[in-house]
Parts: sequence; structure tokens; C-alpha cells
Amino acid sequence: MSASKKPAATNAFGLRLVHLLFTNRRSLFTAIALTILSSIATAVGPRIMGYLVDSLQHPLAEVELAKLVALYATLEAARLLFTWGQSLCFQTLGQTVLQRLRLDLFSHILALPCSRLDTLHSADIGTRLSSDLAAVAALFSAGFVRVIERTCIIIVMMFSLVLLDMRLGGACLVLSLFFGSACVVLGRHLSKSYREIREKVSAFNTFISERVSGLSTLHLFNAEERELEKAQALAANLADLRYQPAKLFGSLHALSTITIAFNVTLLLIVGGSRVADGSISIGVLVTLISYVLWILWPLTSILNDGQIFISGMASARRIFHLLDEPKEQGLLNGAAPDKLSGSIRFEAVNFQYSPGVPVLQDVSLSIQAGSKVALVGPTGSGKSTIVALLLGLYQPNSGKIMIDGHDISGTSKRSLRKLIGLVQQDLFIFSGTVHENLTLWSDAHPHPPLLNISLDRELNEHGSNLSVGERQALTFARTATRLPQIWLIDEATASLDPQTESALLQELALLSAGQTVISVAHRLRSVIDADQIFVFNAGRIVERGRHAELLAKNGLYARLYELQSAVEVNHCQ
Amino acid sequence: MSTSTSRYRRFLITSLAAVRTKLALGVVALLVVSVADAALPLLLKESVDTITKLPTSYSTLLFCALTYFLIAAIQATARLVYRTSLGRAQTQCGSSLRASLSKKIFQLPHFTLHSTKSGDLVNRFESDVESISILCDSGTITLVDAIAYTTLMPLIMLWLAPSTSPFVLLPLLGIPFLTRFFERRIQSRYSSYQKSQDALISFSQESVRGLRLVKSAACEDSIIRHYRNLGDDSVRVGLRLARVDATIGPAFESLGILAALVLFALGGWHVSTGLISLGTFVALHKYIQRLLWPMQAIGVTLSLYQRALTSASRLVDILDLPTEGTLSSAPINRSQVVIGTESATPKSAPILLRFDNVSFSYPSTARPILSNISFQVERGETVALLGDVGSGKSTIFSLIPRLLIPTSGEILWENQRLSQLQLSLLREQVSLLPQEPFILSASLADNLNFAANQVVNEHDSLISSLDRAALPLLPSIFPAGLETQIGERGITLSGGQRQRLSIARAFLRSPALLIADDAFSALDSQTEASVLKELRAHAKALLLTSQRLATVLSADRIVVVVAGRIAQNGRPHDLLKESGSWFANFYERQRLVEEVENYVSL
Repeated sequence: MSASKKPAATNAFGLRLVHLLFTNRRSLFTAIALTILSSIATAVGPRIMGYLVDSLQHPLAEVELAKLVALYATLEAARLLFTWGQSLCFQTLGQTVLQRLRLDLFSHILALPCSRLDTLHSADIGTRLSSDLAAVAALFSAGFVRVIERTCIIIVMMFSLVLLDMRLGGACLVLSLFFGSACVVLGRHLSKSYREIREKVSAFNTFISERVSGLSTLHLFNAEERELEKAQALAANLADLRYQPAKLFGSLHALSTITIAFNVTLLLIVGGSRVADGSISIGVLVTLISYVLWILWPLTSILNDGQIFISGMASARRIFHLLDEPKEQGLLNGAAPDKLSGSIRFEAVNFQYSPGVPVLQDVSLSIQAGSKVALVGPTGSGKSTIVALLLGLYQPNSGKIMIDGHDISGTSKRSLRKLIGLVQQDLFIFSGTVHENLTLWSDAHPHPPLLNISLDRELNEHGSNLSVGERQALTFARTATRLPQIWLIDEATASLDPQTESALLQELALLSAGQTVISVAHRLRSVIDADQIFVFNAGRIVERGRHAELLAKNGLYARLYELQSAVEVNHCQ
Repeated sequence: MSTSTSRYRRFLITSLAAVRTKLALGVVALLVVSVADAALPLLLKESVDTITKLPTSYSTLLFCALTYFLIAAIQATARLVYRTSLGRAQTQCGSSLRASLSKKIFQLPHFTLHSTKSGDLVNRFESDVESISILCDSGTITLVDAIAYTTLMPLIMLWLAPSTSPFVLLPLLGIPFLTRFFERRIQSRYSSYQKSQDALISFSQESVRGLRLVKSAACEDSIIRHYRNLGDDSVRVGLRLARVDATIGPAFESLGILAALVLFALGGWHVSTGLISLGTFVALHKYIQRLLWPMQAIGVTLSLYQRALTSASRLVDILDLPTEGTLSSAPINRSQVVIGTESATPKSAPILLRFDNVSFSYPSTARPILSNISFQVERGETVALLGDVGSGKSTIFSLIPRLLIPTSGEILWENQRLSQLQLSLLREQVSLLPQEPFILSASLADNLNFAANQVVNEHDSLISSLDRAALPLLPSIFPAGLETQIGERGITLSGGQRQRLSIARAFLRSPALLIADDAFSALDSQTEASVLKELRAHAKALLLTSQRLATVLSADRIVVVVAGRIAQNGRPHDLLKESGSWFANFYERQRLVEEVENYVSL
């Protein structure tokens, strides 16, 4: 947001956009060629009219007239064809370029490291993918197209004026150029006030939506009147700002009317006397008048599209900023194992999400291939972080994490994650069928979920039409679909009915036979049979062993166990 | 249906009537412009005829040229006038619509808008306000152009060349029909393009929200493939739309060209037979060119008006929502309200607040949230209201400052019915501290002043309120002191800091009753104790809920709510003795939790 007043950077982003246009050269060049052709045809039309006017001064044979009419008809038909083709080519170009930018942006976002995603608002990323892309699309489909189109017409018109009559045309051109320079000045003012309007509109919207989200507090503080005064002041200020472009366009229109009038008056007086003395024909004069009535229009219309440019460039800047963020390292490169036996070692691992707040301190643990392990501890003790590190979602600040004896920093994260199955606490639901939600649009064969959930069933966004048990069954089936070789289970806190729970546990035991299973356990009842239990507190492993051994220690584990038993007794009542 | 349409139409008319002087000025200026535009080709005609007639009359030519310039100068002035006055009308109309909407929204009951996302709401009224206020500018311009040009110019053409013009004008009559034709085709293709865009956007938004899942399941490739497929769909539909879009311009122009061809053939023939002059021929050509746009404007005006009507319906729907004050069962007459602050009763009445058989359910559901709640809070008392998540505690709290209205039963404030008290005066007496305080993205001072009845300029009182809330103005936390920006554009406060800021706000008010809805959950036990002590000194009575045993046990009385009903009510130590009761279980569980906490913090 702070970079809003850096024209140099804006130009660089503009160049990147233009570069994008060049990715579909065929459409671009065809479109430009057609634009040039239609501009030339636009300039030729008035000349035929002029020729006709000249011919009409003398009695005209019907055949001659018919020929001219046919010529004009052919030319105009060709022009319409060019215009149509040009517009279609530009739209095709815009759509393909947009699709490319969209895919680049989307895949880039999916490749950002988790540490970066933590600091980005998902709403912000969402804006990049929706309204920012739309603003850039408008830039492609309207903004750039019109600039190319209008520029071609202006150039062709300038040539035609001078070619038709060096002196008269030249004089008109000079007058028009004055107007052109006025346009440049006005354009600067316009873009400045559009930019200000953008800022003030978003300030006003933020003001209102913030108060709407805190409406009850607003009422409790009796603040309606006070806040309304502020809102009205903001709205009035915005109205004043919005009035600026109207004023600028008013003067622009007045100026263009006057410039045209100057040109026409000049042509009538000087051109008229030159026709009278026979140095030019009346047809030339009529053609010149047609040209000068036309020539300013492309300039004013470019300014009319200013808003598309301002918001398009601002959005492009935000999109490119995101595209310039570094991707997650080692996502694709590194060793790519296709089989894991499942032995895991943490060697003196230290980790923190933000500086100064250690989450894991000097954690060392060793898990044998094929064993069932539980991580327990109070909320925030670091047990879930172990899962995130094992998946390579974050890198340890120091220490080593080894899977099958290989440091995972040398392994491709993508291929590692393909072999590890994470069963998460909350199931993220895409709106779509159960089938799509299990395979996530891959070609995998979906693992049939428990509870007879049909694969064709349509799910709402957020899965609001699912029961707790169904969610759990889908979470599990989604992971099972991927045929993982190591299981990470971030155990659900939501209570399942005992039947579903035991069915799920049975299925897990069946599918994970011989494989390593690491559960982050919130309910200690489920860890009694674990081969090994690691008890976490404040980022350290404070106790380790089997259930009975830990109970005998009468430390943190014993207390947590006692607490949970009490809670469960309460629940049963 | 038709009555509501006329209601929306009336709304549009009243919105525009507010800026009628500016609109009238604009319309007059627009008429001047179109009359001038109709006159200018006549001067061209005169000039051409003068030039081609020998001997050339230079004085006539000069006269024509200068008149041309004069009329154009008048036209230029008129353009400046209509642009500015209509522009002003548009911005004024927009700003007054925005103001009345904000006013309405600020007065709505807070739960009315729960179903709409606030961002959506704001964007919607942004674009709706725009499409109404644009009637002042583009709407007026296209309307006046359409009417003035299409009546003036054909009349002049017929007067100039009665035998030629009817045939020349004939093709142009097709333009309004063409507009309707394309509008319908564009609409259906546009809406399917919009649908494909929505699918694309909602899938990408979902993927962004589920980004961690996508990453940890390593399914980026298949997700991107699906996104690409949706994008390809959108490209295909977009190009279908583009094909119609690209045809519109040429289709209109072809009618203009047809008119020009008729002019060339028939008019050319008439010129050579001497039926019309060469100047008339040139003028007719200019008129054809000038008429193309106004003929299209007829269609544009219609669609602008349709869009404005749709927007009006959405705004009227918001503006017709009942406001907070009108919601109570007994209508309030604001003038005759009994004021509690200075009446003689308060000091003598020991009972500050009483719930009498209060029940509550949301209008949309029959399920009762609260059933027959009765309890009271006396002056000088601290009452702890306890219960599980979803038991109805927060609903009880919301009923007191009348954020919600009971379905049945009565709530009494100093022996007066709550429904008869003036809302703003009641709310001055009650302060509610939520668990998740509402923080503005503004300066610290603004955030404090948000709660005060008047802007407090004395820094001392702001600073002392922060001190009492255990949030001292340390430069390490607030580098710019009271002017430090917090929220989205400033520093991010921790949960505990947010709660303390909300407590500081309470010290800037002088409430009789202070309600703390788990408002200390992010504070450590020492801070909680010290803040509680300050709050007790500040308010006449305290109604709170908390997990911490020290706080709960220090209350004078405990009220336990289970599933919307009162399960226990009494002094803490009496309730503890009821073994197996909710409170006894709560006590036992919380004791263990605090024991683990203590163990952990060692």
C-alpha cells in the first residue's frame, strides 16, 4: 500500500504486463495488423466522400455514381470486417493471457512456504485471485486494446491530414497537438485524483465494514451518532474528490470543442478561399473538415479509460508483488523416495515460528519403523509442531530430522508429503461431491468412507451438511485414499460416538499394519497401548515411556491423565 | 410485485429530486449543446454552397465561419456547465445515499446483519449507490441526447431535403431494435460468463482457505489441474461472449453505412439533378454521423434505468429493516422516558437488576435459548454466572443492555421495566466487556474515546484508565504513546492486551453495572485479580463469568445456568457442598486444570 506513489515501479510492472501480452504473439500481431488496416480504412472513407463531392459538381453519369457507391460499400464492409476481427483477436489475446497469469498466480500461491502464509491474510490472497485479477482482465480486454486502437487511428489520421494538404492539414495538426499536450497535463491530474478516490473509497468501506462487524459494541457505547458524523464527513469528502474528474472532463470537453471550432473556422475561411481561387477542390475541403471533426476523439476517449488503467495497474502491482515472493525451498528438488520404511529421528531440534518465542527446544526422539507412537502434553506444548516439521511445512532452526536415516532437508518435500498421510482435526471441505473431496481431483481411487457415505453426495462449502461422525469418516477416508506409508494423526477433540470411533480405529489398525503411526493425542485413553509416549511441556520432551511407566513417575503425564479421567466422568453424568 | 416496483421507482425519484436544481441546469445546458450540434451542419451547408457558387461571396463565408465559431464557443461553455453541474449532482446524490445507508446500518440490531458478510454488504452498497447516482450523470446525458438529437436532427433533415431524407433515415430506424436484440443475447452470455468466473473464484478461495491441507497432502498438481479446467471453461464462455461483443459495434455501424450509401446513391443523384444543393448533401452526411450515437443511447438509457431500479430495490430492502429502538415489545416514546440517573429511587433500591421468569428464543428458531430465568443483582454485589459453552450465559448478558429482547418475562432495572427505559440512558448505566473485544484500526486514543460519551482530551484520564486496566503506556508496546496506531495498519495487540484495552474503556465510563463475559480469559491470575479489584471499586455491581477459581470463589453469589435454565443459585461455599452438582464438578475439574497449569509453569 505504501508503494502507491512510485511511478518507476509502476512502469516496471507495466512492462511486465506488456511482456505477458507477447506470450501470445500470433493473436497480438494479427490484432495489431487488423487494427492498422481498419484505421487506414477509417481514413479512406472521408476521401471517397470528398471525391464524390468533387464529382457531383458536374453532371454525373449514373454508372459513375454506382461505381463510387459500390467502392464505398466495399471499403466500409472491409473496415467492419477488420474491426470485428481485431476485436475478436484482442479478446482472445486477453483471455489467454489472463488464463496464464491466473495459473501462474494460483500455482505460485500453492508453492508459498507456510511460514509466509502465516503472515498473509487468506482474505488478502483471495482478493488477488478475485478482484485484482478482474481489474487486470479489464486492463487486457479494454485498457490496452483501446490504447493500441486509438494510437493507430491518431497516427493514420495525422498522416492523412498532411498527405491531403500539407499546409492546411499541417496547420490543423499543430492546433490539435496543442490539445494533445493539454490532454497530457489533464491526464496527470486525472490519474492523481483517481488514485486519491481509490484510497478514500477503500478508507470509507473499511470504516463502515469495521463498524458493522463491531455493531453491538457501537450500540453499547451509544456511539451511533458520533460514528455517523464521522461516516458522513468521510462520504462528503469522497464526494468532493469524485467531483474533481467531472470538472476535469468538463474542461477537457470544452477545450476539445473549441479546438475543433478553431480548426473548422480556419478551414472554412482559408480553405474556402483556396477552393474559390481553385488551388484545392471542394472535395478536399470537405474531407479535411471530416478529419478535424474526428481527430480529437481518440485522445479524449483514452482519458475516459483512465480509471481502468489506474485500478488495473494497482492490481497488477499487487499480483506481481505476490508472484515475486520466494517459493518454498526444496519443494520439488532433492531425493524423491517412493518407499519409506518409517524410522524417524529428531536430533536436537530447535524451532520457533517467530523470533524470541521458542516452540521446540532441543527435542531429540527416535521412532522405530512400524511402531505406534503418541505425543501428549498441554495445549501449546509443541506436539502439533512435530507433525508440521515432519511434513517439511517448516524448517527447524537447528538440529536434524531424519526419515529412514536421511535428513529430510535433502528430500523433495512434495514427494515426502505424498508418502505421509496426515489425518487432521478439522476436515477442510471443498464444495463438490464426496468423490472429489476424497481424491482432491486426482486420479486416485477413492477409499470408501465409513457410515455408507455415498461418493456422489454433494457437500456444501464448510461441510455444513455433515455430522461430526461423517466428517471424521471423510477425514480418514481422504488420507486412506492417498495410500500413505507413514500415518500422522492429529486426533480429533470432538467426541465421536463409541461405535464410529472403534470402527475407525479398527480400519486404521488394518490399513497401517506394519507402518509407523504417530498420533497427537488429546484423549489419553487412546494412548494406553502405544509403543512409546512422548510427553511435551513448553517445547521440551519432559517424560517418555509406556503408559504404565509414565503413570508410575507421577509427573505431568499422571496429572494430565487424572484431569482427563475427571472430565470424562463429568461428561458421562 | 408492482407495488414494490413503484416503491423502488419512488425511491429513485426522491433520491434524484434532492439534486433537482443541478439536474435542471444540466438538462438546459445539454439542450443548448444539442441545438448547437443540430445548427452547426447548417452552417457547413451554407459555407459549402457559398464556396461552390460563383462568384464566391467572401463576406458570407466569413460570416458563416465566425458564426460557426461563436456557436461552438457557446456549445463549449454549455458542455463545461453540464459536466460540472451533473457531476456535482452525481456526487451529491451518492454521498447522501451513503450517509442515509450508514445511518440505517448503525441503527440496525446487531444480529440483523449476521447472515451477510460485512465486506459483501459494503461492496454491494458501493456498487448500488454508484448505479443509482450515475442516473444523474450518464443517465441524464443519454436520455437528453436520445430525445433531443432524435427529434431535432431528423426534423431539420426533412426540412432541408424532403424528398431525400426519408430514405436516408430509414436504415437508422433499425438501431433501437438492434439494441434490444443484442441486449438480450449479451445478457444470457454475460451471465454464463459471470457464472464461470464465480466458479473459478470460489474454487480458488476455497483452495486458499484449505492451503495447508493441499500442501500437506501434496495434491497441488491435481488442484491446479482442476483450476486450469475451470479457467479453460471460463475462457471458452468468455470468447462466446466476445463474439457477440465484437459484433455489436459493426452491426450498428453497418446501419449508418447503409444510410450513407442511400445518401450517396439517391442524394448524389438528387444533387446532380439539382434537387438538393451540394451543401445540403454534405450536411445530411454529417447528420447521419451525429445520429448514430443518440439512436443507441435510447437502449443504453433503458438499461441504465433498469440497473438503477435493481439497485434501488436492494437499498430499499436495507432501509426498510426495523431499527433497534422499534424492536421492543412495548413501543418507546423517547420523550416520556423515565430517566434513572437522577431520580430519587436508585439509592434506596438495593436491587439493581432483576430477571423475572425471562425466556428467550431467536425468531427464526422455536428452540428456546433461555427458559424462565430468574435471579437478581444487588448494589455492591459481585455475581458470577457460570455454565458450559452454549448454556445461555452470553444471551443473558446481551439481554441486559437490550442488545436482545426477551421473548417473555420481565427484566427490571432499579425496579423499572427495562423496556421503558431510554436505550441510550440504559446503556450508559451498563458496561459489557466481551471475551473478544472489538478493536478499531485507529489510534490507541481513538480506541479509548470510542467508549467515552464525549471525546476525552485530557491525556491524564486516558492514561489513568490504561493504568487501572493494567495496560500501562509503555514505550516498548506503544512507541507513539496514545497516538500509536493499532489494528490492521498498526501494531497487533495480543489477546491479553486487547482485553485490557477493553477494560480500560470501562474506566472511561461510569457504569452502575459492569458485565464481564469471560473478559479476563487471556490475563494471568495476578493481573486478573488486580483488575477485578479496580473494577469492583469503579462499578456499583459486577456480573461476571470466569474459569478461574479465585475469581469465582470471591463472588458474593453464584448462578449456574445449564441448558438455558438456572440450575444452582447461592453462595459459593454453599454450592460446593452440593456434591455431584454442576458447580462441584466444575470446581473439581478447574482445580486439576490449575494444578497442571501450575505444574507446567514451574
